[in-house]
Amino acid sequence: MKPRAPLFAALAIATTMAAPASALDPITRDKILELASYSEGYSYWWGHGRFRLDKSDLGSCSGSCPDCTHGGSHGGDCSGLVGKAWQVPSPSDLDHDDHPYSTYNFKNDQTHWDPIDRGQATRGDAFVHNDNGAGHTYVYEKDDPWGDHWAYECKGCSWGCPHNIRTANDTYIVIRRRALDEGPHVDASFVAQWSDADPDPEAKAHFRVCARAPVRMWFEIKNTGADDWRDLGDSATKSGEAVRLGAPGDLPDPITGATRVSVADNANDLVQAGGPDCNDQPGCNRTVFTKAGLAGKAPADPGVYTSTWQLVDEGRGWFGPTMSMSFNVVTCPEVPGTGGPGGVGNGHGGADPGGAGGSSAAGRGGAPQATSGDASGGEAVEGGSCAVGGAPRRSGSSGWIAGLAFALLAGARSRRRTPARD
Amino acid sequence: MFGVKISVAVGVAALAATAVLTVKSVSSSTAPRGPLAQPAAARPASAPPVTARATAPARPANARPAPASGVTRVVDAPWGSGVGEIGRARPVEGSPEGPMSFVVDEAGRVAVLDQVNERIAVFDGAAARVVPIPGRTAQDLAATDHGWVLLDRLVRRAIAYVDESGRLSHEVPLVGRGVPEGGAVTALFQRADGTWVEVEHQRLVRVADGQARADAERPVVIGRFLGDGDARVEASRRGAEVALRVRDPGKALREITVDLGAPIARVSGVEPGGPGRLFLSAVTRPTPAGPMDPAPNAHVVLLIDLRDGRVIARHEVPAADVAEETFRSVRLGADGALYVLRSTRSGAEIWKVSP
Repeated sequence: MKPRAPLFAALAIATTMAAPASALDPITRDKILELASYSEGYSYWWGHGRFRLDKSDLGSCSGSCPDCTHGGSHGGDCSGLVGKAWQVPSPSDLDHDDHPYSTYNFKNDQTHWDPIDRGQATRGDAFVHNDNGAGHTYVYEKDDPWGDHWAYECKGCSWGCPHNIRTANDTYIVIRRRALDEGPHVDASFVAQWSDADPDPEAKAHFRVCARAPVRMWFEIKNTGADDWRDLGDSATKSGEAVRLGAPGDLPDPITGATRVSVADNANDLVQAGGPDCNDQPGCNRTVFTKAGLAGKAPADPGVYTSTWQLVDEGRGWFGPTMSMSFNVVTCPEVPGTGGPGGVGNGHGGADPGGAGGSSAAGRGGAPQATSGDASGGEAVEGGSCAVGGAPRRSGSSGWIAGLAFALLAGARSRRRTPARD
Repeated sequence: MFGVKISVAVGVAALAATAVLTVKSVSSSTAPRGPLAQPAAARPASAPPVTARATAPARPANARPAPASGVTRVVDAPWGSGVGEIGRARPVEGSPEGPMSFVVDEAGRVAVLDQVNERIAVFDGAAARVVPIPGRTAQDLAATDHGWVLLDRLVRRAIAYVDESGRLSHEVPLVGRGVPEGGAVTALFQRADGTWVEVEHQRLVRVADGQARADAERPVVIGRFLGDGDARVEASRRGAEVALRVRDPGKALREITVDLGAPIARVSGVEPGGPGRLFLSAVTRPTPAGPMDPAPNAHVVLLIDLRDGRVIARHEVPAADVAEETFRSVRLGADGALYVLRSTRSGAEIWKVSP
């Protein structure tokens, strides 16, 4: 049991325990968060920083610190946790009791860290507040959708050290440890996108499709980061090893119903940083999601639907451009005997609604091709409504789909592209 | 400047992966009496009436912008542990905390979760009283006809049901299907069909049924309820914009983008603002002069017409100017007004924004 801390101890924590500056060992942001994560569940231990990998001996705290009572020999306070996670001023075993800096130091000194603009906060940075003798700091992990913070912190005697979403107003500043090993990283640029649907003649969307009709879309992306992309599933341990195309917000995509599409489903399932400029085999620097296209079905209710995607390195974060493809879903009369909707056709396909965009499509097959001939054969109806009497899209499409897949690998000449990104 | 873009954009309301419940349109916390009302019997010894502090004059030394018309301060309670006061904790090396949450009934009575003092502080016009609660780590509360519901997400990781006098009735576990860890919970909602918790401001999980029994199925729905029905809304911050997705069963999902004209520090509240309307509140952050000189935040409240995305009214409420943590600073009162909890150097305030 720890005796009650005398007043001079509080003053010591607040003002004089700062460790001197010295050469700092590099550390990655992943390592900072890993170290911080070991604190979760431990007791608040004022003036200390000591945790265990196996999360045993969690300890207890009662009273009001600094006049509090701690039971056990592990735990930490807020600045003890940040010092341990940051490994400042020097490497320190998780199980070694350290408390080199207080929130006063983190707020007012710049020994091994620097203040940064709050809007630049990145995982592994720390938020710190110190005012009139009271202070707090925590390791920042990420924002939630509202802008609140996922944080590792030793919150207080009653609270212990949780991992939680919390708020922090503008009295907190953000500090960043020096000598961060930013290490390898992932990044991407948009190349092109296209679909097997027809362009929307009403220009409400990139494409127009009949309600409940099947539709496919493709997105081509280039690896512009330092890490290769692959998807090793649960075996992923490093940056770039769990790359997927994801629906931002993790909400099911309105066309495909999916929230993730693995890079493993692509013809190029190992997208190398600095690899050859191609997209059709492992090792190329570009890849197309997916080999067979993102297959989906237009919703039953008419309206404009947007399918939005972004790359995600699962468990690490979203990266690269946000890509959107919109579909004007219209009601089409059923074709007798087929049980399906008639096709849509505008008689002059190939337009690129959505306008300009930086596509490198020219290098893969030139300008968009007019493709009304390979559509369902529907007859254009004045006013942009649905084709009447056209053959169902599924009819006779197997060869077309096969050709489509071949064309995709060969250069994708027959898809409607939408080089513009929303 | 602020503006609104609206588009009917994505998907259908009912998601295959979620269970949408049929919910009777019954108000859960708007009973004329309920726990915020003064008990009919003799007042408990711990809750004597006190002189009102709810109408104290504004403090002059406040550099924040003056609130606009339609915004009034209804509670101004100094820090402390007496009746009519609210507790705060300012540890030397720990998270400073003020009151974590509050609720307002249809009569305008305010109940503040004063967890530092292990109690609920009720402000009823000119009077105040307190209700002791078990423990000091609750972070959200709801009122029922029979008592209180408390969310303790970090320590007990449970929902506690207490009676009007604050005695613990029972608890139901928080962590389970839909709630991977207690720290992911961002709000508590009490409805006629049960107790729901919000996870990461994205989805709701029903953890207890209408009889406050642990829900074995724990259904999950996307978004936050827009009142007593099934309509829901979800919000996400994107720079200076807030994207709203409105899900109304049987209707196409609607996307509304609201531009607040300044970088958004955080969305602080999304609450129904009457039929077809929505309160959206956010803390905006002017561009700071530098990392050590953060510009004061502003707390903006918009009333939005969900039919066309039009901003019906815009209000500004003073933002908190101290670091004391609040878990849920914006609540819809049962009287239809929006209320904002704010910590200052001298105490806690509740501001009312009329629709």
